[in-house]
Amino acid sequence: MTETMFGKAKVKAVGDLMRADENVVIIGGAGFGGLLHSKYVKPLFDEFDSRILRTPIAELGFCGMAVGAAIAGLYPIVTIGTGSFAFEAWPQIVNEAPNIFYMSDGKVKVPVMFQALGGIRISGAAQHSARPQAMLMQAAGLQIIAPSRASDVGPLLKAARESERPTFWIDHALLFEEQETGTPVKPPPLGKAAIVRPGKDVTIVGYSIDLIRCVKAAVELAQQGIDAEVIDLRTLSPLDADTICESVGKTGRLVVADECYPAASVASEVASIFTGKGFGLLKKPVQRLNFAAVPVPLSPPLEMHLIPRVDKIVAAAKGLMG
Amino acid sequence: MLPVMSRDQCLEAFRKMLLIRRFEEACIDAAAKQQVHGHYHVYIGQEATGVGVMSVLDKGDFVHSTHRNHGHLLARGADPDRALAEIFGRATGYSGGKAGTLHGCAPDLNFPLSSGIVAGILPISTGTAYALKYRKLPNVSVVFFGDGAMEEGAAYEALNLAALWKLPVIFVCENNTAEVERKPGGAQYHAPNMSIVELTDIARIMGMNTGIVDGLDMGAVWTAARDARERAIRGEGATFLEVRTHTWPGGQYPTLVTGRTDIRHTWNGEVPAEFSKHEKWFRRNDPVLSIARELLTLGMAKQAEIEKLDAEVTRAINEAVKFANESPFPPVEEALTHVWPH
Ligand SMILES: Cc1ncc(C[n+]2csc(CCOP(=O)(O)OP(=O)(O)O)c2C)c(N)n1
Ligand SMILES: [Mg+2]
Repeated sequence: MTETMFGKAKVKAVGDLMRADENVVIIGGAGFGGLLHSKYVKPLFDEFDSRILRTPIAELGFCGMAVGAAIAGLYPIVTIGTGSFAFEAWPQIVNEAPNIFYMSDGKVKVPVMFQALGGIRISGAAQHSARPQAMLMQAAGLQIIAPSRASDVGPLLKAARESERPTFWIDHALLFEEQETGTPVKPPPLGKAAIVRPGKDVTIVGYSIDLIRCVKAAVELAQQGIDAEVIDLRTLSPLDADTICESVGKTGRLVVADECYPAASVASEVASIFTGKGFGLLKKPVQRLNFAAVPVPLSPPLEMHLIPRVDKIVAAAKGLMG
Repeated sequence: MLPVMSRDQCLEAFRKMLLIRRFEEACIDAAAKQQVHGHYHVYIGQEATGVGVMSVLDKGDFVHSTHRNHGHLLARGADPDRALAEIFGRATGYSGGKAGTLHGCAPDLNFPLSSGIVAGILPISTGTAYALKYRKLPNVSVVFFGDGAMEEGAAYEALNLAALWKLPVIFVCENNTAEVERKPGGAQYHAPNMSIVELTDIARIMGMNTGIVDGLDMGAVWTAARDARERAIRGEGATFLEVRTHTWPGGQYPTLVTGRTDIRHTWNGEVPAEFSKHEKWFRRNDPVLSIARELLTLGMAKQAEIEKLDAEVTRAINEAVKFANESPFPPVEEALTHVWPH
């Protein structure tokens, strides 16, 4: 049976990697979901109890340890917990892991996967709501995957593992119970974006939780007679410019939804494609929906005001029509 | 033991401990009604620590805290109305609803923003201490943190800096897992996963003054903090105190598993049948009941006075709940304010 709930599919995907190779281990104590989801994660942790290193609160130490373990023949999947805690391990994630293969002239591989539940999780406030992915895109040599659909998480994890690259899996706190409906699209190879809904009027690009919002927006737009094409980036490093260009070549219009801050973000990187490779394809300016450049406020109305909500995506797409 | 303090001081400390207890019980009730935003951590069981330490501080001292900061904030003298409003995400809160439960903050009380990052606050506390020393002020910085912070590298760097430069810091490590067997490693979420057994050993080998204090004994905390403060002011540098408390049985999933504290339990000694599983808590591990019993035994307060004080505190907290609930959420434009000072 194929899983349609994202969280269940990711637990299965991790389990599949572990079943396939006994050198795949889990390092970290935080798991793959919040407390509410521990019932889904527990069977995995029970099955592989002896291959899970439950760590002290020592992100810097255990992420570095994973780098070393990867060098010495293991494939560690490191559960960092909340995305903001990745900052505690920053030196190992951005300044050690991604440099080693290149600086050893391609001789020392670091096959490791860091996983964290990033994103605006609702009332996490500024210190528990980080979206570290845009900053991580500045770490050359680090692969970043961001699955958002149940049918895609398994193939992406498997491809990342086979790539033997140090990989950051930016997961999202709100994705766990998302249900995939309809016939899943065939997963393209690692590094390629997926067209999850074909359309001709406007291209809407997202990833992770924002992709879910983009799909919902497309459904609403369809009811209003606007045929949106939705693209799931899937990987942020590398970023697939070709698929986006092909789509915009058709639609001439682009909306990008991205929870990161506006400057040097995933959305700005996507938009920058149209100052180069995609130059001349746009009929209208790019609409970028980011979280405003302020620390994430706790109070629910303030936070809700700032996230790239479905209605904002719908409005941005409509604004491009006519 | 209380006698180091005057009767008034003792009663004030007791009042604050009760205030914290009633405040936290109100938070738990409010959370059940979805009025508390985000996950939160209560200070039940640790009241004697915050209140004991805070009782010896001066207005000019700095106080730093963590995710478990409600008790520290109130012990420092914060307004329960504004503190609760902040936890409810309201415009009238100390941070206008922007920070919430993990980030208690009362700058007018020299209580800058609490950090929700385990051990994140320790280096900052060495910085305020350095500034105090540099500015030749007769003050100290106090930093509260959990036993879990000792698992993070940042804690070690901060301790080293404080020891190296004899900074006026009081490190208050609140070990709220005193009941966990003291053995290396292999503990649980709320207990340290350490290779060492005694947390104070770490600071001791760095040359710091250290102490292990019973967190049920407000007087003992008071004395240890007073001595630490005096040493720091004399230029003798930092002190590391491990204050040991017993995990409140409801600590992991904050529900009122021990019920709303019935202050009459101080003297009637009966453990309500429904909570018999937690008998130890009622008989000896609850610091609020402990200090109340001490006050009775020493003749510092009578049953009626204790009940009266509790009624006053309860009324104040009920009003805080009302205040917080009646306060508006901030207008959405506020989301964009205070990013920069100018
Ligand atoms: C860097 C970091 N890692 C993980 C967490 C998640 N977390 C919040 S509280 C906590 C346990 C802290 O234990 P302790 O320091 O003993 O404090 P207590 O909650 O017992 O008061 C953890 C792991 C965090 N806030 N920050
Ligand atoms: Mg603790």
